[in-house]
Amino acid sequence: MTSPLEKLAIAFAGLMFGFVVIVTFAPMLVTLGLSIFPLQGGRPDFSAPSLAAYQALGNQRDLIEAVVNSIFVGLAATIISAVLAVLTGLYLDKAYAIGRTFLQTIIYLPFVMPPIITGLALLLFLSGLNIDRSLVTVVIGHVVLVEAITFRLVSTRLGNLPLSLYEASADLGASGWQTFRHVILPQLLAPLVVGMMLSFTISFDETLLTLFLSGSNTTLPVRLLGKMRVGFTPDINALVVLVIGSTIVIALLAAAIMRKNAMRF
Amino acid sequence: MMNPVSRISLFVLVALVPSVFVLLPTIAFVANSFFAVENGQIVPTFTLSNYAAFLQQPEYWGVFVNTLGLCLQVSIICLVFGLPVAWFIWRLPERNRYPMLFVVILPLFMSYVVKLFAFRSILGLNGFLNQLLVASHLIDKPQMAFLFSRDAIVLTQASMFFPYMVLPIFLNLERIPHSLTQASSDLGASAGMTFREVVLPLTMPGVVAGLVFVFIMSLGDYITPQMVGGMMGHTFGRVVWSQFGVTFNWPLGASFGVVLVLVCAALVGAVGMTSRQQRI
Repeated sequence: MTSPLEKLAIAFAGLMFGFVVIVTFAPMLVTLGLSIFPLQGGRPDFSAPSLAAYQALGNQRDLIEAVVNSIFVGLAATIISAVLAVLTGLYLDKAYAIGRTFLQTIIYLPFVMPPIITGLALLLFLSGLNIDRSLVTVVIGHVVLVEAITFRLVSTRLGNLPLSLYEASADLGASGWQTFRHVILPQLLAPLVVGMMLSFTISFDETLLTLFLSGSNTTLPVRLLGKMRVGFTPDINALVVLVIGSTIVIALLAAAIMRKNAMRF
Repeated sequence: MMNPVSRISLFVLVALVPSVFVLLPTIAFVANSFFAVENGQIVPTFTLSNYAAFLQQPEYWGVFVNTLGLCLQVSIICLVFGLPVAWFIWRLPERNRYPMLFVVILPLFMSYVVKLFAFRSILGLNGFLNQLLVASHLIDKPQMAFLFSRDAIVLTQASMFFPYMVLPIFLNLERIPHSLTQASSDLGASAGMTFREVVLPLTMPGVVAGLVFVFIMSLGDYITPQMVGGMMGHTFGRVVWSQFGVTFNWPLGASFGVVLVLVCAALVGAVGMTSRQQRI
């Protein structure tokens, strides 16, 4: 039974929900609109929608180069951090593991500290070692940033695995490696895939840290930031729409896998 | 069973990357905050003068206090909208809950820089907000006031960090057993009373976590204030940043950074305390 007052409260909260969705989706809608409707004297001309901006994408050489850089950085950071996260998760799952709190602290630290601090600390450290800023330094920054995500998902799953799983495998005569390969690894697949997808989308959009760590050859968000002062042309908006569209597809897939496997952070 | 040598080498293998690229830089950063600058060179001594400069000069701590106020404003706006929105999603039929939650979280996956640019084109002099207001005769001519103001920073950050408020509150609501609210109404409590006396107190850890998440995001964000705040965008994040860029006083910047981290650590600690106290 819902009382009239409660119905009113739900209706009011529903209105707020609608308002919030409009405000938070507005940037995407504006970008989509500006990529389809050409500007006429500062106003979008709603009478003549066209896909011309999407055909002119090839003109934005430097941005396409930046997209390629972002994909490279995202893939490298995702793969390296996933390998480290799985190794660390497996290691800490063992009874003989030492330095548990230490490892967890240094893995979670970059995720809890404001990125400006993580970025500046790395900048200071790398310049002390006379290492020039490049895509490699960006990858390093992203690896330490996103490792926490996959680590969290993998170690939660490992902690939830019943001991009987290991025992049954050993009883059936499997070696340590066989148990890992045929019993444990399949269990880790879902958290690993979701962790990697989230890592990639975070790395792809990372700006606050990347700005400190990249040289002249940089990723898409930093390149776009540089274009902000002069404004985005329709073809830049078109490129952005495609990029955000792909990110959202990855996010949707990750969410679907998480739901299907009843995963929790 | 593994021998001690391979156990230790396994530890070194997993600890190497975070130690070298997280721990050492953080130590170096903190150490730098105690160094001095002489003739444009960083001298590794031990001095508290950087922290003293922070406390003594109003241009530093004034901006810091001002920024804390700004972040608090952003967090409170997120809470005012976030609590009803999380509650609304929680009250939906179960199969609709997660899809609707996803709708609220989805904007996190839209580019940060693009959001900034979009808010500039919405709030600007030729922006959509001005055009809408002029077209509907609410104002006579476009107002410059929307962009490059404190309000623009608050609005942009609140809309960007909003999902970080809804998520912890919703997850907390989800953990309230159905039997509790049922018991409350069986005992004759009205819906309002059940919300006030049962649901709200049990949601407090989520509310605190959301406030802290948004606050820290807002405190560490040094780009939004500059891009939509103009002259008003001189926040503490910018002050830290400028010590590393224009002013080239790294030790001073590092001491400001340490202050920033200490504030965040205190807040995260507070969250840990509330969530430990309130276990269902």
